Amino acid sequence: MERVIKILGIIIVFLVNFYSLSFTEEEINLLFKQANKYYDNAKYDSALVYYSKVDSILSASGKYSYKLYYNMANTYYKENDYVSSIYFLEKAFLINPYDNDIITNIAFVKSKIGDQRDLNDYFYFYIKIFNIKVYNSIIILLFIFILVTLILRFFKSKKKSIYKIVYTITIIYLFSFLIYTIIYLYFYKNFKYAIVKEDTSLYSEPFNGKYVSNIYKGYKVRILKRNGKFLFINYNKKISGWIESDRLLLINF
Amino acid sequence: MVKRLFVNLLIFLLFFNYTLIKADFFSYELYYNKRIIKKSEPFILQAEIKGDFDPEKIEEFNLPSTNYYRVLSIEPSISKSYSIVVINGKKQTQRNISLTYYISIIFLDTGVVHLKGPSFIYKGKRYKFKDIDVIVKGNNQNITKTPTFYFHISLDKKKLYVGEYAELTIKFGPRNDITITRIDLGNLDSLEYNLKKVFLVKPLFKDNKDIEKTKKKVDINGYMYTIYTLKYILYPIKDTTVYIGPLFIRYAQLVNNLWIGDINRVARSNKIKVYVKSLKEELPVGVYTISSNIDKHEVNLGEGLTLTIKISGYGNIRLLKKQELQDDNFQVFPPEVDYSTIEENGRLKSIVTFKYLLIPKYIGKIKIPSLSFLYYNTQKEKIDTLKTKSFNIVVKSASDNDSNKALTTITYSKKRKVFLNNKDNYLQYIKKGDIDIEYLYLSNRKIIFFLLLLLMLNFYDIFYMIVLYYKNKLLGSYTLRLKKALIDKNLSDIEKILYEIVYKKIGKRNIPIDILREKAEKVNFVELSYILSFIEELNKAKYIGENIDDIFKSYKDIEKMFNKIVSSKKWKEL
Repeated sequence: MERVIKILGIIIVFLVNFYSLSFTEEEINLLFKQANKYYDNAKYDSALVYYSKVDSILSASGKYSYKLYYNMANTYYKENDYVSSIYFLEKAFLINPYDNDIITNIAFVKSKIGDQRDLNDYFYFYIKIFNIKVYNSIIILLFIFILVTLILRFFKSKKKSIYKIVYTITIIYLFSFLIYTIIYLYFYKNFKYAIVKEDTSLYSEPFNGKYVSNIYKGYKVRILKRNGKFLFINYNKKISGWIESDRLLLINF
Repeated sequence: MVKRLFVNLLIFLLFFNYTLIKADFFSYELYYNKRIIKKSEPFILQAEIKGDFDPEKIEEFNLPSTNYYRVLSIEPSISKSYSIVVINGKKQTQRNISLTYYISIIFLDTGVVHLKGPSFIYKGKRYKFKDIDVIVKGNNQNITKTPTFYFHISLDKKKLYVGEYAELTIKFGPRNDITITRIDLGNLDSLEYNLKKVFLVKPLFKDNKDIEKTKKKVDINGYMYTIYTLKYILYPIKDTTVYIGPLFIRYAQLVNNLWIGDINRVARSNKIKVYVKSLKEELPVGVYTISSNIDKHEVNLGEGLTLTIKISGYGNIRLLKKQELQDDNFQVFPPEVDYSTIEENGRLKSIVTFKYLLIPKYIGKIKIPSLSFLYYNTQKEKIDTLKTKSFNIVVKSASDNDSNKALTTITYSKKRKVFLNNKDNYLQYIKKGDIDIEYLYLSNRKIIFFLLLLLMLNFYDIFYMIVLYYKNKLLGSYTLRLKKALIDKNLSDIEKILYEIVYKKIGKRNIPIDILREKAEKVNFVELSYILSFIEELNKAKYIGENIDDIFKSYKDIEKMFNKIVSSKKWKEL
């Protein structure tokens, strides 16, 4: 009885966490390919409509696609909307920071916008460690460890030493996973970035503040504080101040 | 043939017409000595037409009589003169004709009479002189005497700030009906010297020719005067109250008397009081306007652009402090400053131009901030600021036009660099194929759920571990329970305590007593076999129904044995 309960439990865990995309996957693929066709025929408006459809379907179910964001960024670039282009490129980079095309395009669009901020920023360094791909692969590995441990235990391995080694590794891995999760959550909570929608000014205080400096559209800024409608942002050491949240496009999942 | 004749005729006609068409330049004006007269006195008007014109073509010169006045006579007189003028290096003779009609009028009634100006026709077009109002007084009424010499000084401002300038106007001239033989400017010459104690003085007219140009016939209180104007610009230096004037001019008036001849007279001017205040700060004073512009709205990186700021107004603009343009987006050079003055509506206007050279440092849309200049506004009587506009410029990468040059290099990691050179100076192509979909296997909520599930899976183990923990605790205090069980002679309790110890030591339960005893004897575990034999005998006695007291008496050391087995090392051998 004890065994049956445990095996059922494992199945439930896997079903809950690794459920498939179900029937919409084919539809999404069709829409995506149709959008790509429009892009090839230089019908960027229509391409954007289809890409946006895919985006809305995916984001409704909490899913993301770096290919989609990358292609959207290209389409916006062709429409001369550099702000949206850099915004979607940054989103694509969050999901897949190992794609060189994304990095090249970010550098290219940045040079067009005039954003001098280096790609050698801490953000770009951290994102390579703390990203969805790494996190998901860590989770999969964790499940494998747990599964092996349980199998060894339930089927009463004759070699106790193997069971003990696997068990200790699983425990250590579980703890390191927890630490990674805490840092991952901390990183996404504290390293919030946004793209400036339009040329605007920064102020020393949220309400009735003095003019501090200017910030230009397409620039990527870090959000440090929030006070109601206003956000305290930082571009570099000199350029930081309060801005209305309407003037920013938040880069997040 | 016909064509040639026609062309020749056309040329002849054009030439002929050209010689005939000659512009007529003439001006016409009414003159009189006074507008205030007595009823019996004849009023004499002079209607003068002068310039280059044909006097024979003037027709119908007329001034009709009315119920209020009668025209007694109209007598024309003409004078001609020729002058040689050099125009474009060619000598040309110019005709100056002056045709004056002397009109004598007698008024029939007293009061203000509106006299319509006379008119004439020249080459089919009618010209009309201006109308005048004549004040006719009765023979018994007195006519207030007007001075024979007009002399008046005025300043355009009563209150002045140090640095602000004012215009001093001096007007003087004789009445038209008197003849002056000699003029002595009196203390007018020393005016400049006296004013310099408080003001910086700048005369507007330096030559007598300029003064001659200011000569005007002006109607003052019904009398005509020939007025000359002098102008000085005064810049106050000190914080004082100054009186300007009275000034005087000596002149000799001709009298038609053989015995007397000329009469020497003195004309006195009025007196002006001027208040001069000083500001605490050294600021330009006056009323100014500002304008600014840039020469380019789009520049390439490294290319310069010029910001021109022009400030103009009436005042001491030189005190305007030049502002430094501080902006991180630009390399700014010190401005070129240029001061100039122009005369506008008879007043001196000062202009200052600042030219800033700016070289943008970054690509993109950059804002040139506005600059502000402080000055004292004399109209508002407070310190005011002049602000320039802020400009938005677009700075382009130099390589947009020149593809051969390497572009900016942007690094994204310490090891690798992305060179946006010619090779990669384009957008990478879109991603094709099936869409890849990522999602967090464990979202924040799921993590908690997952951990709970893990706990549940191991619940049985954890529960058992907790039970064991408490069992161990009980084991620690088994001696009391044992004593109680021995006193009560409770066999089941004694058995329980033994098996607790056995489970703790071996980890196994429910081992039959005989098997355990065999094992204990095998390894020569004396204490355990002693206890086990005791329990066996007790079980037998219980089964048969014997008295167990004797068994307890024979196994006196049972308590000691229990203590021994707890700390025994023989368990490992079992």
